[in-house]
Amino acid sequence: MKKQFELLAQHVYAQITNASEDLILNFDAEKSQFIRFNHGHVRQTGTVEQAFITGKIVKEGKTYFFRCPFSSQEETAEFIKTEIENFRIAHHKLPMDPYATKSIHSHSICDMYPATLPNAEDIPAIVNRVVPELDFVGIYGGGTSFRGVSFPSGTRHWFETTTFSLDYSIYLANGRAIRSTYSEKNWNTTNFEKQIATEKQQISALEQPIKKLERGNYRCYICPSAASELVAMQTGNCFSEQALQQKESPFCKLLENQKPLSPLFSLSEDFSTGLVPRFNSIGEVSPQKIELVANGKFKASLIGSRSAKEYQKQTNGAEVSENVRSPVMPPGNLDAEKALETLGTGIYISALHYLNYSDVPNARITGMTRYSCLWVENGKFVAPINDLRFDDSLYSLF
Amino acid sequence: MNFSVTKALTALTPRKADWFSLRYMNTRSQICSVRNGHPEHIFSNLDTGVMIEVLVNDVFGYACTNNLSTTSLQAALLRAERDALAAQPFALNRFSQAQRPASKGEYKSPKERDGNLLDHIDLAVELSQKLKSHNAIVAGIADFTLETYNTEFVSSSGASVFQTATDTIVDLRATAANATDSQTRTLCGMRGHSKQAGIESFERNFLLENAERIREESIELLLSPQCPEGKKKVVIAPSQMMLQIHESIGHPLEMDRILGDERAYAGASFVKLDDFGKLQYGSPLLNVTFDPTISGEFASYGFDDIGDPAKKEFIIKDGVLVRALGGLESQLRSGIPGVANSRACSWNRAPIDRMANLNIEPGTSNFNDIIASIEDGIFMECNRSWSIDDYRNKFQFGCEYGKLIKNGKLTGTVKNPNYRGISVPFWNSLYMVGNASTMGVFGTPNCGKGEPNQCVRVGHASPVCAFCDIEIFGGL
Repeated sequence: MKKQFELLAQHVYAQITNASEDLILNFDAEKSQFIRFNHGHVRQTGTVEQAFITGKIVKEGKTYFFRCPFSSQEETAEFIKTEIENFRIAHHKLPMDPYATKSIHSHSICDMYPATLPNAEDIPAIVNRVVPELDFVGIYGGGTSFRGVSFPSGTRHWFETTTFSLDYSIYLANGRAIRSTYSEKNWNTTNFEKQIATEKQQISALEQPIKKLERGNYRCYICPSAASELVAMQTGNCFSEQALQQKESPFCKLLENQKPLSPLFSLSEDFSTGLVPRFNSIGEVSPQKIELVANGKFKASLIGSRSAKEYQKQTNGAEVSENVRSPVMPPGNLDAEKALETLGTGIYISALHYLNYSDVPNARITGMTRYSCLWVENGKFVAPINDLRFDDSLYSLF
Repeated sequence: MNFSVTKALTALTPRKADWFSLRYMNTRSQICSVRNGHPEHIFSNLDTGVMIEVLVNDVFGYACTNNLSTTSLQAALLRAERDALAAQPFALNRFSQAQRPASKGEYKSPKERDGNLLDHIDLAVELSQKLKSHNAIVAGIADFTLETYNTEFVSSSGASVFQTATDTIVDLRATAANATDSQTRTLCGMRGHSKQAGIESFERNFLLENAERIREESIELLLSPQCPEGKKKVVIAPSQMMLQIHESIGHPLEMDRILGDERAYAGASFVKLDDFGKLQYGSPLLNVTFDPTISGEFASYGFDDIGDPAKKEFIIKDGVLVRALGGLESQLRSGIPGVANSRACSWNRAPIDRMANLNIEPGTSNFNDIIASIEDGIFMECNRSWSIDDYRNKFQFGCEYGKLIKNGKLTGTVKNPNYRGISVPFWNSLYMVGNASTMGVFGTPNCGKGEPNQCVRVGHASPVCAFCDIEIFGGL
């Protein structure tokens, strides 16, 4: 795929665009296997193979984007030629773009993360063997995704990663469930079996009668799986320079020191996970790590090149959306094995569902608990709880 | 590019499949987004590809690609056969060609005029400038989308369905801010102004009038008091009813959720199989229909994505649940009557149970009579926040704009109007339904569900509705 993209880019820059047209080409593709399970059996199974080219062209202060399928070299080049001709014809109608940014020249980067996946034909049998008596529901998704960026200057970035995940729930007859994901670098059936065996031991706590909790404030332990949902709520507008400038970010009051977060909370944009490329869709390369919040204090916003121009700031390689692409919340000093003991009496929250902002300026979020949330007394699981709604501010949660 | 899906079907050679189909989609879209008078995103998109489905010994498999060469399609066909075979001993259900009818027909959406969205960029610039034209406004945004999608479904058993639709989306948004607060007002919630129509949708006078109103109302909200807390009668405008229908009627009645397919992701449903024909879902004033045949509504079609012909069906009749949102596969699995709603977001996803147009039928009350009947209540419009549990029971929704109702009259504006409820008790508290003059027709391209995720268009039409004893509250 890398070679095909490079050949296409060479052809387009040599044969289709001219010196006055600054064209950045993006390539994105996937080869994926998906298998859905319900009640431990296969509900749907299939593959997705797709590849696309996205172009951003700037000429005389006017910007235009296009996207088309990437199939054969000849056909894709023809698509691109048509789009560029459309742009040339429409150029006089397009408004001037004061925040137009041109491609830059930088060193090319190539990050590739290969991995070993199971054979597609074997997955239904493996799952069936490991969870024969369980009400197992979820999806296996595995394959390779590809990203590339090309500039007229000759800079070429490439990112290729092979990953899998088996994202699932195990339901009990009483409707309670354990939620989990099996995912690691290389598929290992023994590890998957061990994970399921461990989770089977948690089922007994869910078989107790439900404890109904009344509306109020409770001490909670929020597992990483649920905490990541709360962190995900911070990946949208929270750190976007444009959203902060336009007062549409929930963290305006954090930036302006009107409301603090806990000194125990930090958050970074950290590309060392290798899950997403460090370069953005216009080829800018982000630092490996950007501290967004350090010990409860606002440290940095994500600044795309358009915002940099609009607000006279320095870009830090953010995507146009200025979303956090690879959030990492570093660990503190609470030992996972002592979590229940430290909680004492309260709620063990393993999953949250359908979070949404109910009051953006105050970073207030509403959502539900889901799956195996448990009442804990004196550091011991006592019973599952009824699903609870919460409505609280990130400023008080974090 | 000249691609014939019929020729492609005859060029392919199955090795194991008893039946196979090709669903070809070709989508052309243009997007124009302008903020504070400057272009943000002017975009042209072409998306084409083919989904191949096979039936091998009563089990379906699929494979899709956007490389339309015969070699690529043949490879996809063999991958689909491989996966269907691998699933044979472990398949949840057995199906037949009855779940993929050999339908023949066409559908064409209504439109008055074809056109190029690039000819309307000036209007988007003008709108965003109008939205921004006050010192208190920090963002004035106008987004236009024009999209045409053609779908052809052909099968080895003789299905031949061609459908073409053009749709438009208009989004206008103004955000007003001061030192401590910001308030956003939109045309009708996030991308709610979505419909099947041609370039005539970008109607200058209508949009300019609304841009002015949106700007003024966002400033008005900034200066308004918080929505009060308590239990009151709530009158909900169609621009919020669309979300209310969607989350607390549409999703819980999707049969694949009831059958458990979505339990690890989108969630299940509080509705049980034996509720159909019995459950008093809402008050006797509640009549809900699934109707993909309404001209111009956003999710209209002639056939679903497995070739089942679409028709209007009552889902809730006089408050009683009578039918599920389940396509032909779900109907076989559940034994419950359903609708033609096996839909995929595009060529690269397999069809699952979805909403299409899901509407509340009009009642008999006019708007003034509804307001006049209320001593102490609130009127809310335009969704801005939504959250509901994974069984679609406990919800909390927020609106952009509220007006208190005192002694039968609309009075002061309040900001951050929110309300909470539980689906069945909420719908049973419905006590007045507006007549046809109060109807609003909306849609959204953002209904997400499915593994892997699929985002589809849905349409929702509703009259103004009034509910009693609803818990309301405001912001901090």
